[in-house]
Amino acid sequence: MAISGLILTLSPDNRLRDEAMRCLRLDGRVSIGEQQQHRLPIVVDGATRNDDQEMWQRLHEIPGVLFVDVVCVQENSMAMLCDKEVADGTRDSGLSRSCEGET
Amino acid sequence: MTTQTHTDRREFLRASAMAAATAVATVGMTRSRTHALPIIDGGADPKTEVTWYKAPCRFCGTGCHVQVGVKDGRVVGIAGDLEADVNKGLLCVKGYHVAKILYGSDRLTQPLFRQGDEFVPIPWDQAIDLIAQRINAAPNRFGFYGSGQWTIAEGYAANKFMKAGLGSNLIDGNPRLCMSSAVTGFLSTYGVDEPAGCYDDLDACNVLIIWGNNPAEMHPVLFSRVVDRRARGEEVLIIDISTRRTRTTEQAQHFLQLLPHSDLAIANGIAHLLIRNGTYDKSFVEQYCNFRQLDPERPDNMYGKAMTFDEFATAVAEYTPERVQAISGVPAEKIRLLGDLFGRRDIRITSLWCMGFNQHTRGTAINCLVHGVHLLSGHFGRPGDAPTSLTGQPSACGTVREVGTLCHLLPGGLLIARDEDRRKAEHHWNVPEGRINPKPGYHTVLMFEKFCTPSDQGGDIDTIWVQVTNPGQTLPNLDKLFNRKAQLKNKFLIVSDVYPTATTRMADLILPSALWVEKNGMYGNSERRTQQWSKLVNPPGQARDDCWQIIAVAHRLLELGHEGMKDKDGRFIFETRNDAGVEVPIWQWEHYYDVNVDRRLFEEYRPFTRHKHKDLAPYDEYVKTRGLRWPVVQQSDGTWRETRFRFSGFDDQYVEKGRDFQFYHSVTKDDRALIWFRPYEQPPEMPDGEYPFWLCTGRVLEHWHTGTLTRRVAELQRAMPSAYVEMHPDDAREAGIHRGDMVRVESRRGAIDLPIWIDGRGKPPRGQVFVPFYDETRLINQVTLDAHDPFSKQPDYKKCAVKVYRAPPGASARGAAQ
Repeated sequence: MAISGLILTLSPDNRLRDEAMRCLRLDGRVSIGEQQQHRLPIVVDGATRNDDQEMWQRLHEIPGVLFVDVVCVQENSMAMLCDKEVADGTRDSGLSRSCEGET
Repeated sequence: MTTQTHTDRREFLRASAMAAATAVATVGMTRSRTHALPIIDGGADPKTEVTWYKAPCRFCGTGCHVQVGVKDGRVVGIAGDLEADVNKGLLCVKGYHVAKILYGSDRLTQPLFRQGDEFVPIPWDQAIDLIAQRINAAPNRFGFYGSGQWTIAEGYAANKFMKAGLGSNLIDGNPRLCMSSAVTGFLSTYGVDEPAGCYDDLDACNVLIIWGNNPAEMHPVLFSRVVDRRARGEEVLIIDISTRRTRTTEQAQHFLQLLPHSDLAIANGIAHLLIRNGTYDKSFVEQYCNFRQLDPERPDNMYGKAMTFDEFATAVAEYTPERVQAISGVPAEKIRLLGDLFGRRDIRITSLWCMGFNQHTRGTAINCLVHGVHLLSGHFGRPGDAPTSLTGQPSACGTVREVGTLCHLLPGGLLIARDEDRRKAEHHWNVPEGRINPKPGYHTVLMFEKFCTPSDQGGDIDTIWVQVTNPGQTLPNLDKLFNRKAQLKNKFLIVSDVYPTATTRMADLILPSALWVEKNGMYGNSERRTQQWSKLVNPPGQARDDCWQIIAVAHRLLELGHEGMKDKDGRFIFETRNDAGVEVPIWQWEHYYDVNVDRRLFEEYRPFTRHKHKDLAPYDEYVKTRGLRWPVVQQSDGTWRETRFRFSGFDDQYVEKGRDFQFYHSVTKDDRALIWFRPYEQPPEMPDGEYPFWLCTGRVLEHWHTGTLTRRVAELQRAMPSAYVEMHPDDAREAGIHRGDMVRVESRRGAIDLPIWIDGRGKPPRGQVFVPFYDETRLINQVTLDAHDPFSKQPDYKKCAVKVYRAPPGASARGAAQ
């Protein structure tokens, strides 16, 4: 699934910043880069389709993380998301009301 | 692929992602333009065989640039663009997923014609002929409804087709529903549209006041600039003035929770304090401002009549902090805090706003008042001192406001109603004098009201062509303005889109369109920045460019003998020649990309932009850059220079030498801006015993507008699968409602059923509820009010009266009205 390069903006409060680092180190999906003052580059490697969005939400909720920015996403399966039949125009769109992931 | 190869590739991707993130973190938000990473544009990475190109993001009006990775004709990667001044390598969660909008499984891939309850595929030639025949039979009963997602070329072609070709002004666009009050605010104040400042103000302000806006979720990359400054230890005071708590509130030092509609009282209260305390900028006001009020004898005149400073002071005197508190619910000491801040000369203040001001029956008024507060206090025109409106669509400014695809506008800010402006446009278009109809057409609400009214009862619009937008979901009071069409068999709806939508459901003819990097394009963002991209991949199936669709219909009309499709020399109005001077039949799809039609139309459009000092550079200058902010003026050495701070002598080359400021399109023709007095008035509908709650509608972080694109991205859809109602826990407790219960939200116009979310992401106060509008299965606009601002004609989606109660057993998720 997607591999994301993110930047976390960390709180100037040392206690909160340390707590944020502790939380991140506990998560095996996160690789932590070299902190650049208040900005921390990380990479999130999601193992399942749910991971990236769940991770995004979780990062926002960590005390000491002020903001989450995205730098890049490397999507291994991006091509698979393209339905070949539709792309080739060989399948009727059908005007169905459903869409990918709709519940 | 072997396990080892797979592991190696993942490791490579992880290392690449970390390198990119580290590089951006290192150079930081205030980096210089020299940086560690290479600028990628058309460059191939030999390790991955991915070629990278630049393009602006497809979503909001921020105008971030992305790097688009293409391999084997597919988009396979997205990265923030380090070379882009707007986002400096960063993206939000929607931009992160933007490539996937191309690849939803239900893309429209062939023209479809309604036959009874079925849609039948038809050839493009037949579809184009059908449209042309329908228009030719009754051109004055045909309306075109466009979008702030139109590219500049698409909007320009549509505008020319209607106004120069058909001689009709029955064209409007969805920015009428989101930006038109900002336009009338700028016009009333400065005599010309769009912000004077730019995003650089966010890097320089000491105080950021956010008025009825939630940039942490709606414009996150911009908000990130300010959060980043604070994290670096800079002191930036953030004040959030809003009806409900949001993620923006979490970053604010002050949260001023106002009652709906009371923002006018707050702005007048600040003006009163500036005058009472003697802290207004007397020098700035005396040199650069006049005062204005509405004329009671001509209340429909947006430009009003003059008033003196003393009359203004008297008018605002009643807005004492205590009275403002009584109207708005904001404590008097917070009003004094705002007055004190604006009264200081040693700080710089930026105001940001978006839909909270614009979707407002007093939208023009509140826009004017906040400009006025900045002018009165002199917090204007220096970096960090700016009243700035944001846009929600990628080219609401570049296409609709600048190209003028509204029923009263011509390109470049020229006006339909002004004789000399029509003559200028006819000259540029080389059409006979008198071709352009002097009467403005119908604004959006009126256009759809006419469309949904029987023809023999005054409904004089019989055919509407919708491109790149979804009025079946976004119009207010949908039963009145859209759903009635189902009963009117002679009405005909044409929809060009990329996916099935709430609008295609009602369509008679559906045209499959190319999307984003499947075509050439240009957008103009919120800070006057014009951006260009090139086609990178082919659209699916038979999907084709919206611009081509317009030109093909125009040419078919020419073949049918419509004289309007010729200029005064008898040539097709979209005649296009290649570099050798040979005409290219661009109305034939197989020849459309033989030339760059975007370049051809943009160069024709450019002369319009000089009339109101909105000068654009040649097309090829934009190919080389990540956008330029107009006016873009050619220098003596032949280079092109953009403008960051309009009307300011230190940066704007149209300000006369030696002057600090010059409002050179002044309404009063004396180079002065207008400070308006507009009183607080009650909204047209308020909660009462029967409908006791205020309803506010809006967006969520994960979805963009009607969700047509973002609901096709599995990650975003899964994160926010359906619309909901936010409600205060005490109101829910009193009503016996629990989190997740299905409730009915009902107004005098309609009702829908939704699950309730208590203590969710947004937190409304007691007596208010919030519902996002992105979910086509739960259309909140069946409930909203179609009352609109008298000048901008923009509806108010932010407040109407509703009741909320537990939905009856077996309630439909699609809503009570269906």
